[in-house]
Amino acid sequence: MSAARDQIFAALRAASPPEGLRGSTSKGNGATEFSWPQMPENAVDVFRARVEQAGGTFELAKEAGWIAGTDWALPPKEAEHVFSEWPDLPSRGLGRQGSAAAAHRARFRNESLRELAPLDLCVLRGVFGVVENGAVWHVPANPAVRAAALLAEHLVIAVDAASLVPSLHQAYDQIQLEAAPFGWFLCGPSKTADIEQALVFGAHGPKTMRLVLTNASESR
Amino acid sequence: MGHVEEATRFVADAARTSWHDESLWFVRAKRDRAADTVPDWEALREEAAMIKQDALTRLPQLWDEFETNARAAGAVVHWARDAEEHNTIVSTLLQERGIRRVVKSKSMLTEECHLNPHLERHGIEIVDTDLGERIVQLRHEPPSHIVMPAIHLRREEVGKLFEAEMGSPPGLVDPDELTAIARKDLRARFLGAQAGLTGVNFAVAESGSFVVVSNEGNADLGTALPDLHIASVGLEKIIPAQRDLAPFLRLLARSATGQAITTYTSHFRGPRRAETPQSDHAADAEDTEDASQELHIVVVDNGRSRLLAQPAYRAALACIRCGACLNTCPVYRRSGGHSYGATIPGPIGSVLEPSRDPAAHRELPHACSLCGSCSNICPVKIPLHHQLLTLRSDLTAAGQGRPSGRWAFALAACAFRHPRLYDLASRLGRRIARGLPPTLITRLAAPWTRERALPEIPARSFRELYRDRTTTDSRRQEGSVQR
Repeated sequence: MSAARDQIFAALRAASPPEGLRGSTSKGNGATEFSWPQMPENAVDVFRARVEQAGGTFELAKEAGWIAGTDWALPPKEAEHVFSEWPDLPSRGLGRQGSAAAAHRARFRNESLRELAPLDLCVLRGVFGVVENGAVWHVPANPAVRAAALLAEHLVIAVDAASLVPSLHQAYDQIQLEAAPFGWFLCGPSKTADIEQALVFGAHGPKTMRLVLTNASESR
Repeated sequence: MGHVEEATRFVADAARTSWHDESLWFVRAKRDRAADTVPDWEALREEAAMIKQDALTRLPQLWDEFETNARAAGAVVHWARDAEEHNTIVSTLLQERGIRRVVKSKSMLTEECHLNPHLERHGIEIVDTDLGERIVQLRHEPPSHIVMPAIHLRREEVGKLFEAEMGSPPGLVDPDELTAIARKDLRARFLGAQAGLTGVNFAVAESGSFVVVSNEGNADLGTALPDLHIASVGLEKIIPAQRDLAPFLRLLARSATGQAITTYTSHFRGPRRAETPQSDHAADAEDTEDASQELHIVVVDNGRSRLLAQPAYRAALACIRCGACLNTCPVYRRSGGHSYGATIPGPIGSVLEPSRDPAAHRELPHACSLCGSCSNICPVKIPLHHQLLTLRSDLTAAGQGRPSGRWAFALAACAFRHPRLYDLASRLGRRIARGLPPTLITRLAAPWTRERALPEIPARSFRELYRDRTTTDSRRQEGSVQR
């Protein structure tokens, strides 16, 4: 297919407008008046509002031991099949199989990804949160984490309050995609409005998303 | 059939037309509220437009850089001059691996290339996984909107379709329940798929990575499980640097649906890789193989380099497919996406499609009132209504004008060139028109008079009135001087 490549590049070269149109003005070039948003005073409130707008639920976890203090039940039943990036998930509300969350994690990692389903709950560790849109940057440690985050009926993401950044500009300043083949922003549960614009959660992925902001007391 | 005939069919259902109009206007209003939360919105648009215009001046350099970096990350990059080459590359990749079942997330490029029928001809089952796209796929029709593919349908129609195709209970119309049925049906297909196909929202030259956004998570689930991921990308989708993603992703979802960001914004850099054995206990190698994947990226021209060569329309290549110009367009909202008879409808489609195939889409630049709302709302500042106006003259000059228009304009030009002829024609016209019964005139002037009253035909022309007026005025002036 190199003939195709050569021909496409030749066509592009012939068609390209002359150099010297104004270049990209992202950070530092200063050709436009554009400036990055600053961290708002009430960052946690704004972040919370954005998460809730996206259909997620939000909670603050002030103590370091938030995992132990969290109720993992998914009324009306307990979470049975659980996949967690946090190794020390306790058994409360987790039911029989969930009590071995860490074991599940090890068991599924290298098995066929499809065997992860059915999955009740997936608990992720976010890298940082973005105040302006309520999204959390997450880098799955392995393909099983990525699959579990989509196959689970319910999703929990915990992210440290100190990690919040004001906008996507600051976010991309931090992201090192070279470090991993895959990373994503996650914001709220999977959703669709394709039938008469009626908003429905759980199109293909999780039906609920619960965001836990940890160490919130020490935040700005 | 042309746009006018198709639109006539659409508006025949008045209830559907107003529902369609109101739904899209609702999305437009949501977009306004979302844009209002960003203090520097206009500067952000300017920034995004600049990045795209800069990228369009150096596509060969950027794609060369992308290819090098994507390869280094383990992806295979293919080049396709046209739709047929693209489709052949995809079907060959699938056939070489004995793949019979694939899932695809929304990609206007694969719609443009008509990939689905091509794969079906090769005995490959292809399932569109975006709910709206799945609905139109099952109805054997194209999407009517680039972001909301089934916006032309009512819930009752979806209920009937699911009853026939997925065995849902008769009379089911609740969107929650219908979505649950589709979720179950599609989940099985996700689990059974041997390859995942996606489009690309942004390709990043400096890292060889690309970004795909979705709310449903279908692009993500479709590529998280199978051993093969094929991503199709148009030449215009490249941006220089990772930091450039920020302005576009801040603009995209807000412009499209009024969300601050989509649920999923996935960044792919090379194929999915099984875990590096450093963490926890080392896993056995054959299990590790399970979770790895091949990634193929097909870069498609299909008329884009030709569009780049046309300075008047080049800026349209900056389009990020948010659909905001469709939502705001008074013609689109009231005529429906299918009336355009094109892969991409609305203002942006009316620029892109005729520049690709003038003969087939010459009517589209006329499906526009030149109100300019599209240009005002476009997040990358494409001067859409200016381009549509230019297209009208260019198409006419190229002999692709509308026949009725051609005769009318030829007659008008002749009359305007010859004042005496003009005078005669106007005198005759007035005499005849005043002599005819008004109902007959109304009928003759249809369709203009369908919802408008014609003005009263004056007895005398403007020139006659003006001549009289100047004579009277000069007499008056003379009088005042004498006094």
